Amino acid sequence: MGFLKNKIFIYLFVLSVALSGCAKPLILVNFVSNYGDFNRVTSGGVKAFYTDRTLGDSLKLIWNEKTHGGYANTFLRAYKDILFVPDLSGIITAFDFKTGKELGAIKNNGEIRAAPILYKTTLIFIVNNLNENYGTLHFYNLTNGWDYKVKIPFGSKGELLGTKENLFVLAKNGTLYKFNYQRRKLWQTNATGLTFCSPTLDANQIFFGNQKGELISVDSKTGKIWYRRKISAGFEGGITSFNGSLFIGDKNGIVYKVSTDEGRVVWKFDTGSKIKNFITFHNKQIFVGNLAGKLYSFNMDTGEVNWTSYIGGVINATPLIFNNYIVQPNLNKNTYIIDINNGKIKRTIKFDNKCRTAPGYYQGMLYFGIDNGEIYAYEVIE
Amino acid sequence: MLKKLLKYFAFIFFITFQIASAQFYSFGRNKVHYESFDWKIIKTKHFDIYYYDNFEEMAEIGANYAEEAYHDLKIKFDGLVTRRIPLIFYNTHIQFEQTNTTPGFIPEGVGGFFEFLKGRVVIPYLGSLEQFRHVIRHELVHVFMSNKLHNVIKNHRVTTDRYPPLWFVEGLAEYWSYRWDTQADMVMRDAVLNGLFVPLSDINRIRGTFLMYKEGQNFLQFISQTYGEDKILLLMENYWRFKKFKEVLEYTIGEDLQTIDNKWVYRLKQHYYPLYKNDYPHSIHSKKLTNEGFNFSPNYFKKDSTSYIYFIANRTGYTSVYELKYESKAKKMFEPKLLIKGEKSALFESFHLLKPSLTVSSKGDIAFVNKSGGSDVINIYSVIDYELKNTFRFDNLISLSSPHFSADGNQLVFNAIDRKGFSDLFILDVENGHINRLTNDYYNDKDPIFGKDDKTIIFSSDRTDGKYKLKYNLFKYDLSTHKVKYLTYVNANIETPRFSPDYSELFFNCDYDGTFNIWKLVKDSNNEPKGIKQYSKFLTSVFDFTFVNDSTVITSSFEKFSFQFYELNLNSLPDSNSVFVPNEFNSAIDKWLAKKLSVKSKRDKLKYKRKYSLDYAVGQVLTDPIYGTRGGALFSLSDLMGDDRYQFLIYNTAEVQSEFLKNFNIAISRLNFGKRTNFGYGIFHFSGQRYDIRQSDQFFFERIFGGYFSLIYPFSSFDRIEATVSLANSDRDVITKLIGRKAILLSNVISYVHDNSLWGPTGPLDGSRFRVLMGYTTDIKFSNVNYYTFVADYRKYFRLGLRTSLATRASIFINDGKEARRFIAGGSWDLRGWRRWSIRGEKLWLSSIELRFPLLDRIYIKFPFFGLQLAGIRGALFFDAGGAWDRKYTETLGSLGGGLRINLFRVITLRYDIGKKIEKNFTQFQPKLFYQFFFGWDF
Repeated sequence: MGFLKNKIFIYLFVLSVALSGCAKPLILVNFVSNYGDFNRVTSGGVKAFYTDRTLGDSLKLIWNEKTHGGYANTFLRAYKDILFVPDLSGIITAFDFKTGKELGAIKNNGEIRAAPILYKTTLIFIVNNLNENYGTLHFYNLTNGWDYKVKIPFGSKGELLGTKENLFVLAKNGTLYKFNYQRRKLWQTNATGLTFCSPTLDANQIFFGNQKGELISVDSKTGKIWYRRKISAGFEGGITSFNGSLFIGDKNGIVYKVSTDEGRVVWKFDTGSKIKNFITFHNKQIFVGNLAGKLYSFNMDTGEVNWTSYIGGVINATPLIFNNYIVQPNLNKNTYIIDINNGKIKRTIKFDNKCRTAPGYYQGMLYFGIDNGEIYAYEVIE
Repeated sequence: MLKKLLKYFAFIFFITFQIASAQFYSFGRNKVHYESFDWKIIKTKHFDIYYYDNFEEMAEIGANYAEEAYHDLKIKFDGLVTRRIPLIFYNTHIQFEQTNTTPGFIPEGVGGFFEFLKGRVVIPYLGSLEQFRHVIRHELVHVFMSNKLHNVIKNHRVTTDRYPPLWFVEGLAEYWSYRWDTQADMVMRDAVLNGLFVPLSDINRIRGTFLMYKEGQNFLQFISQTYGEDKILLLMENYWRFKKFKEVLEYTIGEDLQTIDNKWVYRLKQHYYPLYKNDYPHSIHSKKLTNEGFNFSPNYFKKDSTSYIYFIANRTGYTSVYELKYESKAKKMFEPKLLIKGEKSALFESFHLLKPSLTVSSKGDIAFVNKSGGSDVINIYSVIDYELKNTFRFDNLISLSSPHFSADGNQLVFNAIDRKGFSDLFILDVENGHINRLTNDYYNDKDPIFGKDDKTIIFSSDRTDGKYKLKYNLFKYDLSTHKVKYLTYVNANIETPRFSPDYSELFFNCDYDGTFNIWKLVKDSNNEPKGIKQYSKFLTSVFDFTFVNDSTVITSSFEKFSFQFYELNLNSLPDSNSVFVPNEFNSAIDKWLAKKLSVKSKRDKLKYKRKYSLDYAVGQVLTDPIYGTRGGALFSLSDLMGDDRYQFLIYNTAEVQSEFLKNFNIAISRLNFGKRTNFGYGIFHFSGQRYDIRQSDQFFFERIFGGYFSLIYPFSSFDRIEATVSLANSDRDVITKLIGRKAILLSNVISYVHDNSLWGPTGPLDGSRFRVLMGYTTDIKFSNVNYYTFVADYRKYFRLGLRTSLATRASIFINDGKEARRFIAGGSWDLRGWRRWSIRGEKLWLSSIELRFPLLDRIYIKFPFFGLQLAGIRGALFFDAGGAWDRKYTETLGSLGGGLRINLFRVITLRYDIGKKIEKNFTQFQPKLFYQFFFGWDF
């Protein structure tokens, strides 16, 4: 094999390796945006995880692309026709929402577990840094690539909470930060206590739970802790608010409805296995999935069970709610389309790998994030 | 150098191909496949369960355990294993030891394993369903953990060249599969109270030991209790973040390792030190009778007014049967006498140390259990005449244990596991060999003894149901009515019942207070069992005991990580803290029933069909300034059971493009280990420059292609016969591109190999091994080659102490005839001091004598920023002699000197020798010393 001694082959080989390791940086010179199309803020009547659409029987696969890393059980966000996909290798990849064409990527050293938030031309996201005991909050200008960074000790495992003017970050050690979009830290409150929770906002109060099972309420304007009540063995998932009530599941599988004003438990129900995702709701029903693969529908007011559906696998990701169906990803490589009224499985979409992220809906397109860094985009035919 | 490396690379992988010099061969014991397993499959939702024989019922129970464990573990790990998991069940440990799913030998203490290449879980059934459930869960924790970590690493796109430390891997498997039980607590108590405990910062010192398993389990339990159970999963989910596990641990817990360690040690001391208030070590209330090794199954017998203890022990590395003189008032310890050497011959192939395996009759016969061939046997040996009287083997009974004689010595009751996996009781008539089956179910019935007048059998069983379900209680079997009755019903495990010599009292081991101690059955005024009363309160377990008289017992007990014998006077024990536990027969119900996974569909119950998958694939491209670029690949496929393998080797040694096709080397082999006779066959094409052993630094080109067929038949674990026939076309350059030599070589080789050696850290210490080989190679077309081969290589090791040995070797190698190949010697592996492979001849003889001894057990050098530890440095003093010649014997060469050996990570031994060569036909020493460094095991 003496021909391999030829230098030109060595140079070409090295060059191809170098080129394949590079991804185009994400700079969108002409990018203009107001406030994002979907955001999980729950105040002002905006409902979480719900889209006021009816899902038809047909889904057509339009495109399928890969990102560099895999995903946490987070959300896929689309703003202004661009799908932003954060992955666990620390990269946010931007795709054209319709065609799947890769527009660029923002690379970091660590993991990105939470969905980014867009404010005008600034993409905000948090990276848990590799080989470090902290995270970094990035304010990335999409038009020129400038990146402003703020160190967040211990990093964060939950979602960012964005309102029209401000941004809230809950660090792993229980410290809650408030920033404005001009990158200024307005206050921080240390609620002490390990937390992986994703906070929610309801009537000027921020709520979150922690590993000790405490429910904590913080004034969103001043940062003052209103109350902390131990109501559970510990919380790991997200907390959802609606009309003065909070809904959260704990690590023993108990679902709680709690009043926001006092942190009083209104009702609770034991599903038997840990709950890690957000509790979703629609039309007086709330929906809860647990790690044992069971999905429940409860009456929001009374806690009565409307139906249960055993779909198997592990329910880790938050579902997406349509008017007629629940789209529930599962780690057993299936995503289930479930009748919202009776819990029956209408359709199963099979993938090659575990379904990780909560599904995202944007302008007639339904997106799924699958293990091993794959994004599937389906067209929804209503 | 590169070409030589590639040549030997091919050679090593085709050891059955013996057409070339017969010098490079292996000894080694044999993994004998006494039977071919007719595999069947049960397909469940997540598993493919492989079983054979009549094990179906147990396989269905195991399938249920597996699915239950899967459901629990997917929640614990917050993740799924999405591929189907192969679970391979073996009916007994003896058959498990025959598995080809792993190439190595499986020791007695291994209860199952998870094998990474094909993701197989391989588990033996040991007679207890609870233990079966535990092992299934344990191995599935490994599967889930491996899957979890792989996903974490892959999803974060960090390098995959890391794995958590073994203490975490095994500790997690134990912690998430079973509760903290008596055995675990016994080990930790002993470690903490006797200064053997190793903190986490230093846990590599006990890597691979049972203590490491239990410390790992205990540590994770401590983490859960102190910092929260969620931390355990977090340790795996944070695994991507730091390269060192220590940093992952500190980040996850939020404290530095020293602090965590200190808290853990403090917690352990808080827990165990208070035990001293009421409990005591064995050395306080009993007299130690042995000091070395691992000693089990003591049995007392008096003959000719002298008392003896008969037992099974491992005192030298070989497990054997011993006789120990016993005198109650003796001040010194007697040295045991070796009665039967174990693990050196086929009849006494191996013993089961941890199970009660020996009993003695009133007539002076001992009955002991050992493995011989494909199953256990019971041997009857007279300690009066010191001769073997009989050996019993039973067709469908594979594993035996707990033999016990009747009072008259004519019957033997014992426990056995049959082909269905049932662990039941049997009675053997020693005179006529007839056996009777007493129980026939899946409850683990063990430790049987005859009752008074030999009309009943008392035994321990897990058939307990009701409030104390699955606890081992004592039961009575009436030999006339065949009914089984509870004798005890308590919340504890009871084992090894023993009657006092007059049969008035029944004693046994019980773990009611957390460790096995001696208790007694208490009866009421109607002679009905009322409850149990504690006698001893030792800190660590009594494993077994035998009565000397009504008040004195000899115990086999665990303390300071060894199993020794103690003489104990039951009347001398403090009674003040003695506990009485009443029987709760009202809570007792009949037997429990095991849940099975219902598999009715024919589609889900199948016969095994071989499917092959890749074991490994290795490829390499090398380049150097002289020889240019070389490349090659090796890959291996095998079926799920590892019985049938295909190996492919391909590489190229061309120096220029035009030689590419000519220098293509390929070899394809099939090796089958599924039956007792292993066979292999293959084809090959080798072409390239070869090193000419006749002329230094010269190469010749040879192209050789052909095929071979090999057979290996093992007679036992220790002896085998090997035969190979090969046919190859050989074209060689005698003078490069000028004169060539063609031949069609037919080669036949037959060998006899024996190996019962016992290995120390750097080489054999005891036993012997030898190989006798005869071969004949001839050119059947051109008559250019025609020679015979004879090799005799004998090595014997004389044990001088536990770690000291005198090793001897005598070898002769003969190739005689036309174009006979030369043998080579010289270097650290044979004639030390002489340049490696510089001694060559068609005939060669070698002889060595070497004293091997321990030099330094451990040396630790602490530098400012790191420490360096070397352990197990051994020394050697040697004398070598040999000679090589073609036609006429020229001179005898020799050397003598001393050296050091260090075993690094149990993978390789480094050797350094200093000495003097003996030159000029053994007449003078070389003027200076030689210094030789190399690697390799002692001969």
